[in-house]
Amino acid sequence: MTDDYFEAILIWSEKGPSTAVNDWFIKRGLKVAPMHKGLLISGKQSIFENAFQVEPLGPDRPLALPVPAEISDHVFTITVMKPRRF
Amino acid sequence: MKSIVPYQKLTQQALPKSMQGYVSVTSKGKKSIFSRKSPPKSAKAFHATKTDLKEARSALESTGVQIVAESRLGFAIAGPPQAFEELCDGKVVTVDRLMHAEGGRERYVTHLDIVGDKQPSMLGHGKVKSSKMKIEGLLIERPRLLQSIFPSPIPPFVDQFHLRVPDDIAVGLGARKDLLNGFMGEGIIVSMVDSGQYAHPFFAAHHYDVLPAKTVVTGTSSTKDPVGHGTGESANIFAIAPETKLQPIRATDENGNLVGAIGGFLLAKQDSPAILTNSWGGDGPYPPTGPPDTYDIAWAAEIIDAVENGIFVVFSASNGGFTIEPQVPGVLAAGGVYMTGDLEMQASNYASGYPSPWFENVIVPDVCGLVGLSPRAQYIMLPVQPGCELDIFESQPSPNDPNDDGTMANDGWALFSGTSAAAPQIAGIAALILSAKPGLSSAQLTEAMTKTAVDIHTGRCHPRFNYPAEIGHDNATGHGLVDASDAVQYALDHF
Repeated sequence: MTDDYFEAILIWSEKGPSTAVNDWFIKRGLKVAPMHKGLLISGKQSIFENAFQVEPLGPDRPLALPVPAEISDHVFTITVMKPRRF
Repeated sequence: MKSIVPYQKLTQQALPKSMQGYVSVTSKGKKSIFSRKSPPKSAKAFHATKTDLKEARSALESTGVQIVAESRLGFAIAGPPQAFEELCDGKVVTVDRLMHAEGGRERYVTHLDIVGDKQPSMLGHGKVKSSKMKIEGLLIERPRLLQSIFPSPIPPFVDQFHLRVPDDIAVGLGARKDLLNGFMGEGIIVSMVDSGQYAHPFFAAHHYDVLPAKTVVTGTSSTKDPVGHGTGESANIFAIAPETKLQPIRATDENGNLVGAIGGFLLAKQDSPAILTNSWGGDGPYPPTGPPDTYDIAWAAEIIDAVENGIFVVFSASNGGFTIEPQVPGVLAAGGVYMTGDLEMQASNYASGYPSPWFENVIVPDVCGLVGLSPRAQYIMLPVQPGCELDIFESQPSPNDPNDDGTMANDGWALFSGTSAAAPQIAGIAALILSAKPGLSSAQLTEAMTKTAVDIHTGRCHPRFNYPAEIGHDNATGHGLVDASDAVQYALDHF
């Protein structure tokens, strides 16, 4: 099985940004980059699956990921990106 | 002059399956070759005894290293990185070092090194874990560059009609040097998020200024382009603006899949380049079933933020796709016009064209560059990494095209285009304008190009949208084909 690299966009809830959210992802081995209205989260598929405690992710995109309870106050949605092509 | 990039940097690239090295066996003269400050006049004092050679061979083989050849001083060896790590009790890492390479230009070349507590600091020098091995030290082979030029910096000639870089693109878009009054993009940085940048001799031969690529996906090489798209399409920038500086951003994974596009855009944006060109996008239903989703809205905000930060952002209109990026207000959407050998022009049926259903008064494209026709727009001979995906694909018939491009599958040249070519051509024109008139806003750059574009009124855009090119502004080609020298002159006259 291939371990693909994913990008997901996190959109802040009305409460806005929180460094605890950034730390939550970094602690689980995912990379975060600040965006205008959220965060860009990236990493290998297996790391996403471990972090979000989900079954192997299917091919459908965009794909909404379940927002973990620990960070749900600050997070509106987390979505795996639609594929981009040349 | 001091380089603005580090001479040497630790990277995290994938290790090769096998690596090559050299070990020096304990010298008869008892002084290690590694203790010398200069090469010896004679090698005799550094010969090893037959007994020590035998013991060293046995020690090497016990760690899984293969002996390639033997001399009176030591061995040439090969083996997996794990064997070298076992031999030295260290870790094999990748290090990029600037080297004078093809055509006398500098580029990063990946080296291997062994690091660890007791390891020497010199790049590629290792110390074995035990003196009982009768080995004074180990050297990892450094990359050597062939003193010849491959692939050729000159595009091959093929039978079918095509355009060549740089001259045909410059002629077609009004960017001949004699028309530009010395404004050739000098000092303007164009950042391009794409598949990577291979150091093709075409760039060195023309003295184009390509900065070392930055990578998004950990473990990918900054010197490779497994697709060929980024390397090839970037030649369109220099065809228009030969004195600009290109900052490539590699957003593909090791297999060439475009998996880090947003990360690439953010990485590029962080450096605040004057121009950020993007020859990629997504796809969705057209007409769309509703407004953009929250995902696209968040992504669009990031693009708008780049425009508001003073970056001139160009996105390709897409080759039949419908995607949010070129529709974002403030972005210049690059469409396609096909020019024949007689300089007749028509809308390219390979390029997307439509009024945006999501943003008022937005038509994709704003203006057009030179793009081929369906079925696969084999139109511009572009430099690529030899044997990459496009080098192979374009050299063979495809399911919807019985023709091939007439090049070899591993010659480092391929015939392709698409709106992926138009975006960097237009980025090149923006660089020309900025070198003539620094500090212009995105809106002013767009105005200079749209006001001076050549109106196209023949042909239709991609059949998915099927809009005709008409006299005046239309949904197939926007304001028409860009004209570099007129756009520069407009900026000088009006701003």
